[in-house]
Amino acid sequence: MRIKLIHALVLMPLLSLSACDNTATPAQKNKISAEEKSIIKTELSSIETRTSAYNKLRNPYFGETHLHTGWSFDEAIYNVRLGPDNAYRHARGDRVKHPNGEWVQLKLPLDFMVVSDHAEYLGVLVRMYNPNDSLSKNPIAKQIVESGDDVEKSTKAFYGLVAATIQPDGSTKPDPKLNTPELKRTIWDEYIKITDRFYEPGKFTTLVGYEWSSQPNMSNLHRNVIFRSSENLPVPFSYFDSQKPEDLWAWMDAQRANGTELLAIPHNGNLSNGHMFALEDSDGKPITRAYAESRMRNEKLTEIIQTKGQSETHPLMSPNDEFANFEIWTKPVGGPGTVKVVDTSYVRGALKNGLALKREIGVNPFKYGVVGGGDIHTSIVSHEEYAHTGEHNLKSSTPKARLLTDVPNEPSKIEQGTAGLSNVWAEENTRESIYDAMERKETWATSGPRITVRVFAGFDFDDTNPRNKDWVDKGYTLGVPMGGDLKPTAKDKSPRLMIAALKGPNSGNLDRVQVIKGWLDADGKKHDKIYDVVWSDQRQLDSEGKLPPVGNTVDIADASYTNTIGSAQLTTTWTDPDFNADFPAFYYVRVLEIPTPRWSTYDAKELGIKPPVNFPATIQERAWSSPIWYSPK
Amino acid sequence: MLKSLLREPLIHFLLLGGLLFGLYGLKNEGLYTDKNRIFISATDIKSINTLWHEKWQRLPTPTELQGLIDQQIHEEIMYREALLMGMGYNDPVVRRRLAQKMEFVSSDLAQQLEPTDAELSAYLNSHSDKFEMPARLSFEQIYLSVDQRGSDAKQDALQLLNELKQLDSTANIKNTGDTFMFGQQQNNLSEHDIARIFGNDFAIKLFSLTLNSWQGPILSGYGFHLVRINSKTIAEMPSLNTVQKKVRDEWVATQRESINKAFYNSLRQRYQIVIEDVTNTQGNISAN
Repeated sequence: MRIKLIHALVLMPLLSLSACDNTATPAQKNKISAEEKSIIKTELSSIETRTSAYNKLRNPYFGETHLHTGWSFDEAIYNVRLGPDNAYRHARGDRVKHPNGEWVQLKLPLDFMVVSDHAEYLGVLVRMYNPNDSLSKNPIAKQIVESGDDVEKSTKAFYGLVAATIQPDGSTKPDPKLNTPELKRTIWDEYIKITDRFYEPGKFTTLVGYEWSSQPNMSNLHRNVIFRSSENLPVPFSYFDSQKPEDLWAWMDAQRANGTELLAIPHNGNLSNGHMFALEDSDGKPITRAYAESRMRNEKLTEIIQTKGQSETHPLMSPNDEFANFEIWTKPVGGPGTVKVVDTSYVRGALKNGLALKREIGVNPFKYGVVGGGDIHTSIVSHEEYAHTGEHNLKSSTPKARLLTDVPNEPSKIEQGTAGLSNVWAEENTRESIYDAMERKETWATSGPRITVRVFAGFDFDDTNPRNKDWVDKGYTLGVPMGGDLKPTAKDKSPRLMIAALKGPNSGNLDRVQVIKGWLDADGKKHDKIYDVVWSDQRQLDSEGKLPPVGNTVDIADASYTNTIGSAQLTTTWTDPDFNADFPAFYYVRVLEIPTPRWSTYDAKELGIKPPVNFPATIQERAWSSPIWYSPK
Repeated sequence: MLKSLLREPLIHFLLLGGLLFGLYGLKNEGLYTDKNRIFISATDIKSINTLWHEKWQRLPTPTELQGLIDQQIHEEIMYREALLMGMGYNDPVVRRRLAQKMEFVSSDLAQQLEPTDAELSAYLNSHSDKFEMPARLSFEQIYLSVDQRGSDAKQDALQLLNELKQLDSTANIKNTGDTFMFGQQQNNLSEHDIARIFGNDFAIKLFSLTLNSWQGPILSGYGFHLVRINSKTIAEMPSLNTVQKKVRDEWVATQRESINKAFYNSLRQRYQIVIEDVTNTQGNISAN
């Protein structure tokens, strides 16, 4: 008895003393030591695990860099609970559910996908639908959940949240209970796990990404941030952290210094009221060299098209471009009125301004490559005109919602397009290879179809043309691909472009290929010119040197077309007839399809009505390559 | 009794220990924190600096450092007050976080597992659908453009097919047909790879063709093609070596799930679960 008692007396204090003295901080516990980091690096570089399709001369890959799921606050409000896993499954070719209840499946799977949910309240609102989640007890949960499938109630809840969060000066005041570091870290880790789960190197690449959704005064400044790897990722820098792109770039620089590689892709210059590519910074001061360097260090690409319209140019800015009146969006992201049409909203204007600014401050701040974006808020990347399933649940996810319903104070739905695609030339279908292609701007955009475009520019190609087996090899060794920089040669030569375009396997034939050139003359004046360089059906230029239209096989009532006009493939070499070695310039390729029915025409047929009269019933889908820049010595 | 107790070696041990304990307590500030005293040690400040440096690649300025220290103090005070008010108890967020941490106990155990090759092989074989390498084709294709040839395209294709069948199998066919962006020779493509380039129907058709003879014309999204299959590898299971890492990851994930389940079940057995009988139209509620 005595012994037992004594043992108990001994044990108790011993037990209390054995509580660990935790002096190690969380940072020290989770941190990978510098030594471990270098071991990892050596191991990785010695692994020669290339996928079977590895091609040193690069393959084309079709993907999407901008898509929202129910983890975005503005989608969750509209009763979408499908998350990133649904988006990845759909993009890789599985048959999945659409929020509208139907089963959907892509005709051809995409090669890569980035789910880019809004960083603001990422994954938070969707949890409110789960009665076991403590978030379902939050005061706003009731409104979110009970709005259900009612589009007007959902819209009211949405604008309520926006009004409470965005302040008049453009800054934000997030609900602290929905924005705790704990919550953000937990959700972000889950998000990354899902992205990793669907990554299949060689077959389907997923990249971790999110959207920084700054829109001061309803001027769109949104950027999508994409990470090269999924290791040790910081919690996203959101609009709640700052509304200024300069701050986003500073944060990105710090992450890069810490070993995380990432890039940002701005979109919807067309909705920025001139701010996206403005000649002043966020404080209204003229752009400096440091600003330009910071911008171009972090942003390599911009979306030239997406569901909320194209940002290449506008008929008012480009009156001589017969194809400029394409997928124009006139309403702002929220509120009444129309968007400002000014050259600092559009890519072509920005590319030209970039040349001028380079002359002034030494660095071109608008040296952007291009991709196509989705910005679809249903988790379903709807890039096929003949199978469009809408941009937003409830608002546009059925033909009836798209054509026959109007919610007051909402942008016009007929103006919305299908998703565009982001496409790259990369050695293989892996995260690193595809990210690196985006980093070096070897990318092209399409308005939805899987059109393939390839271009090389150089001074020393001689007779090589795309019909030669070695044209790609020569293109890389003797010139530069899309996104590249042409260096001047000592000889008195003009640059030559070798171009090849192939139609999408499930879409219309090609009408023509154009080269769009922009340059700065001796007085610093900006110019642009459009050249038709190769076209179908052996058309002859008319008396004014203009190429006649390709024709039209679309049967509007039947929502069908035939590929009896146009070409499946167009290839050519083109030498700049107006080259001046002293003028900085850029060239990009634009490829146009023959007319095909627009999604609104397919919807109209399904509803048994005539297509809306205030918008074209046919569309000439197209592709744009990233520019190639020329700088004089 | 007291005398024998005093002679007990254990008691001597306890007294010595207590002495050491007391001396240590007097010497080291911070071992016993006063309820109303917050001590920010040099170590704390060092770790604040380290965390900041990790994020911004520089040390904080004096103003920034003061702000961070204030933040730390703020958090500590709020934390202590919250504990005093019993806020930790039954708070849903705290509950969930603690439950999560408990799950990590067994998850961490799973991470320590090292499967044998035999275990991995067994896993590989029983989950063939996850790891199977698809069948692949290497083939040559000659393209005949419909837009260039118009309604003659199919006829041209059939005629070319005839000519090709007469040729020696090593004859140079490099300049026959129309140029195709992706070239004539296609190597080691799975059905998925072929579909991405040529379309789904084309891909399916190709796998039904016999080897080493020209066949067609087969219609793709671009026009007609004559195809000669050079080689075909059948779908097969990879050797463990080539997919070792992937199999291990999947195996660990599966193990983690079953370890977590077993762990939870062993804990649960120690509890008596009682659910009140709620009779309503929604039927019976039962615990899983």
